[in-house]
Amino acid sequence: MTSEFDTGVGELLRRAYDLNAAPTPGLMDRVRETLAGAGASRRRARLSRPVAVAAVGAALLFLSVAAYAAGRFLRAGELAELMDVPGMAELFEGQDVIELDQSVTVGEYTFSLRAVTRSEQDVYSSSSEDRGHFYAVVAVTRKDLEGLEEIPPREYSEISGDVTVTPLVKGCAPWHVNAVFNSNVLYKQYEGAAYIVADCDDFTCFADQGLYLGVCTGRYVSEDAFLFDETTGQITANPDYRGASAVFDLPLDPTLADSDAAQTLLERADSLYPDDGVVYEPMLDEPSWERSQRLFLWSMGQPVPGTERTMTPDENGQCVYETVYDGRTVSRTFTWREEAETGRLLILNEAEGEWSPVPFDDVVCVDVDAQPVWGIYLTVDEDLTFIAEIVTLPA
Amino acid sequence: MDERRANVISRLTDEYGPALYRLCRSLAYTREEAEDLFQDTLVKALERADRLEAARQPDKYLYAMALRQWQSRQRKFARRRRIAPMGPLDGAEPEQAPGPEEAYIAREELRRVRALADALPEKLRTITALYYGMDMPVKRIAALLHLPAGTVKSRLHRARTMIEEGLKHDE
Repeated sequence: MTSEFDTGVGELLRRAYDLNAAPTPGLMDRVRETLAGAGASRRRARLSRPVAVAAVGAALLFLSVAAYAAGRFLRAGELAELMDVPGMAELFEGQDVIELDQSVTVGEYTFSLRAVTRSEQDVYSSSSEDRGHFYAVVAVTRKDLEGLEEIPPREYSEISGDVTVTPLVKGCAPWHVNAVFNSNVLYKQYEGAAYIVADCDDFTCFADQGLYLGVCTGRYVSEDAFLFDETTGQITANPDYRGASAVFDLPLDPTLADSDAAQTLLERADSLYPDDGVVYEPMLDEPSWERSQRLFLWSMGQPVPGTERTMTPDENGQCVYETVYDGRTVSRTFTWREEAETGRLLILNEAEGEWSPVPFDDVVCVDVDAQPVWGIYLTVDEDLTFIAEIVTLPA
Repeated sequence: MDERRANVISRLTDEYGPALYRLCRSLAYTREEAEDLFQDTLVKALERADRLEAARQPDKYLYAMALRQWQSRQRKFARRRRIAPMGPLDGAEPEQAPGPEEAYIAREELRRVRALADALPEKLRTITALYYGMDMPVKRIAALLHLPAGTVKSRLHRARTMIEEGLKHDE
């Protein structure tokens, strides 16, 4: 029997996943080899990657550039303190940091490249196999939000969820090589600006070709965000892009280039994304929990007036939400704790017996087809005041 | 003893490897990440070979291990958002391709749908990958993730709604 999940978008999803994906013979051989090796000796098996990426060990040598940190933005070191990631503050206070003040205004948005640096060890990883990491700080402001101490949650969510930062290399089509750089972003809002700490594998092995940092709005970046000139190899922002995009030149010393490492990366890109004439979307974003929750519950759901409660947890980390809605009394006890590794606030989901990050949603009422009808939406502000309310979900 | 354990996992790899890999490929953003997850799961399985050998449904046990490995990676720095590459669809193909242009448009649509599925919040993404990528029934997903079937259904519904919204947004 065909369920509602298998029609429309469901049908497309079935085809978008590859039901015939299979491990390559090479991968299976490596696994068998490792298992056999582990059987012969007592040491724990460690599998190697098929293609090793050469580490870039050169000292950091940035070209001298003008560095006029505008007073209205946080310095990279100050931002790193707020990010609360172990080692990040030291990284952005280190001698390798180059503070920059390159700004581009496109439509309502102003993108400002604030700083770049690199390190041998990734601050997010304790792996001994790290191969050098690159970091950049970008501030994003929106004209209609300028001057605000705090960006309203919905707008901040839009900015943080809809702005993506990516490394680009002159002479390389973005959609061909970007996959091998392992890019990530981390967001923070502070006094009217959304800050992004972008990180990726160290790609300074291409420094002699020219390096860029691309920034764009959009749920994910399509080839429309940037223009790639196949003749000159230059990458520029596409003025006709439906959102806003910008490309910053990274002023890195060309002597950082490492042709062998660059060649290895290109071969890896070739193997992952063969240049078969089909243009792929270069990357996509993964909305944070905050964004996705708000996207769904706030953009599509309707808060019920009169059901909002502000709560302060007791000494056991618990607070009780009570209201009356739809002719019934709704009562929930929320227990929170802070996740040691990330500092995130987590709420105990008693029904599922697991901890979930805030904002937290709890579907209270479902219809006969088990579709959610309404539930409690819980947020928390910075001084640990919990705010919960009933939200009705769209049919 | 160790050799026996390795043989157990080798046998399970032969039997369930393709399905386990498909799960990894559905969960991971790139083929390389999928291969890492596949390998890490089997290395972990080696440590639990005795339990796996005794398990009534070793495939379910392996899937659960892969899911835990993946969730653990995702949780570590949950605030940090992965800019996942939008790679080829491997073997996925549109059902009908009357001409080159139509085939291209159809492939692009599938790519966009997969991109939006990969952009879902992790809880929705995992269930979507299991349902659509592994062709796993709701009841089995519920058992695997220790969730009520109603929760699985509501998350599938939510995932589908978000993907539909995303497609409208892109138009």
